[in-house]
Amino acid sequence: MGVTGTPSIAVPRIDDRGSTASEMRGGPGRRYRLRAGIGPYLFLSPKLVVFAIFMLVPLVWTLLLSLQTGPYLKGMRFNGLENYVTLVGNSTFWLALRNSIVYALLIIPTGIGLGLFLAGLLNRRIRFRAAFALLLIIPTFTSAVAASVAWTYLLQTDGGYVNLILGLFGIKPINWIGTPGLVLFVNAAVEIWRNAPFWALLFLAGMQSIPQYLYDAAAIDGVVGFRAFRMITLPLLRPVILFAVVMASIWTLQIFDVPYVLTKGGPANASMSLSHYIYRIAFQNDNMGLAAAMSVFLLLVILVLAILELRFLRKEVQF
Amino acid sequence: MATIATPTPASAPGYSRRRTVAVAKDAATYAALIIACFITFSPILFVLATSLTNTYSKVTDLSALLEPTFDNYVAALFETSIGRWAVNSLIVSVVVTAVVLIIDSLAGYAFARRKFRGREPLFMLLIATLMVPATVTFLPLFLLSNSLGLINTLPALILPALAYAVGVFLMRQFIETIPSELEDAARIDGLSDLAIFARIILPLSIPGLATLGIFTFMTTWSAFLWPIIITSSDAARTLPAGLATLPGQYNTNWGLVCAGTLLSMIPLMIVFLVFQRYLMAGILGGRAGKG
Repeated sequence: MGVTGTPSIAVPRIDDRGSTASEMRGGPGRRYRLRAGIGPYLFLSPKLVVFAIFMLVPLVWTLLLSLQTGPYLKGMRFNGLENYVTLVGNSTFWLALRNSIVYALLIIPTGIGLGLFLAGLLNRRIRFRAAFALLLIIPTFTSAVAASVAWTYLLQTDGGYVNLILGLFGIKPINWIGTPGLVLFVNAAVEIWRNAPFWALLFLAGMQSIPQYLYDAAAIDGVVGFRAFRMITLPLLRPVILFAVVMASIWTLQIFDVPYVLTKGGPANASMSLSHYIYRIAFQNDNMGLAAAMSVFLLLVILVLAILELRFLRKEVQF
Repeated sequence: MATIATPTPASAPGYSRRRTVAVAKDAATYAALIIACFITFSPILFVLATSLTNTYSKVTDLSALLEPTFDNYVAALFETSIGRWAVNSLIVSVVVTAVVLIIDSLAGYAFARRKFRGREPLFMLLIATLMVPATVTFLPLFLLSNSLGLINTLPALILPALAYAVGVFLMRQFIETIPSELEDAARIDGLSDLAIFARIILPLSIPGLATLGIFTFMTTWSAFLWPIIITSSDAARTLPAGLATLPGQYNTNWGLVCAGTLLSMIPLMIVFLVFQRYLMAGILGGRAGKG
């Protein structure tokens, strides 16, 4: 048996029915059924049923929708690849796509980088680690909407929290939400504020599972501090970082909540994400077909990015 | 980060310089952490102060913390729709989390421990759907809900959230780490599949279930795009969908809005803190060592 420790929380209770020899042979007494066959499918079926209805069917349906046009209530008709031609020629589409890509480029490196930095700080031998961690994790308890509503309040031009603090340094009030050049950064900053602590805790958990003897061995060779971080901690965290980068990519390319609530996509679509534009096309312009085509396009963008990241960032770590 | 196994004796050359550097590093660490905590915590503190004052005005200071009034919270819960939205969010999040924990762990067990035809391709399909953006499924789901008459209802909020594959992935990874000898022993003793799952696998999966539970609750609670697509009245709105309607063009009651925002954070905090304990307990004390 490979069991080396005893579970202290949940002790599995196994009925002792007493396996007699005849029972083991499959004779009278408890029947010993062979596995394989229907068992696995029973375990799978609840999930598979829901998955099929609410994920697979819509997936195929969207592909079909993208080839149609017309208002959804009065019936739609097929028009082939015309929606795709339309979206390629639509400058607002490219603006929205650019915005989503900018959000990804701003949020992913900064958020994950800050997360690594904070985790590195917390991993040192410091006191009050738990208190720091608790204060840092608070933004994670806000939903993106709650955070956006709060920051709508805090970013007000007249007497808002941020401008109040800047005023202490003699900086004039800035119109955070209404200045086209700033809005992308403001939305990205709120999202980073929300997410970086979460990444920090994730990386901290990973760092704490790195055995101390690796650092001790390196210290003998004079590798300490930041060099040790770069040569031991980071490479060993690579799988976790890769996971974080891929999940963050998938998520930020579809970002919707913060730009929608905080800056409402404005001014003049300067901060509108692609998901926001798709929502507008589908439900305000009543053009489900075009919205579906844009969604398929976004799916392809995400697919390409995820594959690229997995190819370039996945390397084996040998010690 | 790196520690030196044996402390340098005070008489060693360069000792005082090394000590100064070490002290400076520690000071810098604490300073950086304090600044970071200020950035994460002080906005919320400010929101809290505003929620404790009766104000439509935008300018508040922290003095409100010294003489708080809870009128905004009373109003939020009992006089506005915030209470209704919170109840909806609670129902949806709890139901989704409970169901997901069950069906995902069942499926995760099947993928981890049972061989069946098409296991790998099916798993790949599930993982692939992680990359599908939300709007791809939301558009047809809207049309489907429309034809089933489920617009603006709670089931429409609950059902689509059950289809995400993240949980199956998590549970499979987790269950794979449970030593199979335990199941073999149980099988020899004649336990049925379901009994093995319920009595052996589930108790040992508590850290994995806790992780999945926190994650599912938090993402369901914070969901915004789908609720605003599918709900159109206050009676059915979830908290995020409702909160987004609060800040108006002019004359927003910021005290009330801040109270609502903070109220929306409380369930997440509670769930996180409660499940964290199971997470830690499971990891630290709950499992047999690996074979």
